[in-house]
Amino acid sequence: MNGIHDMGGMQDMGPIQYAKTEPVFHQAWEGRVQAMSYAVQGTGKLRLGFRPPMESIPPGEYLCMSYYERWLTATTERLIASDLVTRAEIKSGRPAIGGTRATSALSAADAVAALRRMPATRRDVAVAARFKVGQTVRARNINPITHTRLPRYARGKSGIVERDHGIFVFADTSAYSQGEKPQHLYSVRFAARELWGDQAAPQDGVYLDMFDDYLEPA
Amino acid sequence: MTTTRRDFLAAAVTAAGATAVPDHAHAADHIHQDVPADVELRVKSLESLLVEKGLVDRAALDALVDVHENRVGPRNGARVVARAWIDPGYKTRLLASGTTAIEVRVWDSTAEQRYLVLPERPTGTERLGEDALAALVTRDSMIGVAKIMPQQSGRPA
Repeated sequence: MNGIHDMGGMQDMGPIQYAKTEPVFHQAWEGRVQAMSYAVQGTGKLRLGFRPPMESIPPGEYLCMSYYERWLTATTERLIASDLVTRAEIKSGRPAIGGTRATSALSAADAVAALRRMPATRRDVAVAARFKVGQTVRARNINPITHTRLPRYARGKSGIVERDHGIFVFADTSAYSQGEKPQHLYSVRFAARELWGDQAAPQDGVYLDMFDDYLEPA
Repeated sequence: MTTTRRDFLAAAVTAAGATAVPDHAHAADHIHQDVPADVELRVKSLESLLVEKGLVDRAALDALVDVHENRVGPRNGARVVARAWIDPGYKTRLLASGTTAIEVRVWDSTAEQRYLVLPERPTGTERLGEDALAALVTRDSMIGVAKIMPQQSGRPA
């Protein structure tokens, strides 16, 4: 979707807060949010991917949130969308009276094992590649209101297939439990000048991971 | 004086009027944040809710936090880099293709692949072992935005 998350090519967002060495989590709650996200994901009961709710945060709020505040929002919305909790329960912090108790909580060992299996998005199935290394391709001009991994700045631009990564689950549909649609994923090189015009250096390039469905022959 | 990115953006958004009273009638498609209560309290509330509903186990959360704080992260990449510096066969397998051309290559990690830059081994490290080499490798060097400085004496910094 054309949300605020798709920032490639935008400017004037201010200095990046840079620390040469920094803790994994700046505050303890950040670690709890990440752990809850993985622990629930590991149960296999979530029907909505991580990115769609993240990308649906209104731009003004998104820009004011810290990284793990966005995780908190995304995790909460995934739980609600998957009918595991209700918005009323989130608000009250208590299970609804008469609600059923799940038995799906992963043990510590199982939660860590599930983490080690991620990301399991490569698929060992036979799917024909529509494009080959060295071929000139164009990124389709698509503007779905749903999740996509095709950055706005590349749409309609031409590039050359550098590498075929193999076959992967198609994020645009799998994020909504609408099928894995496994397909080839390529690394495509876009000349910096194709993307940004004459002010870019002639030899520079941007490499994007592109699903087969994002491309058309050029 | 330093302005954090977050402060900068918050100020910019406020200046732009984007935090004016939201029009809830038109926000039905958007995700609602409840009154922005203290985020730490929201997290505690969510955790106790999920525990009570049998969706997560506190011990599992503790274990996952421990994994991220102590067992994964740049240290694993540093070991890969150190091994590649001392083991040519490993290095060949690591690098599916190499380039000597001087150009800026930006890898926008949008899909399933994550990338690691194999930084140049700094001079003065000829006598260092794998552990000492791994200790020199920084996060920034593995994402291609910094070089590893030459070592003075051949001993770990």
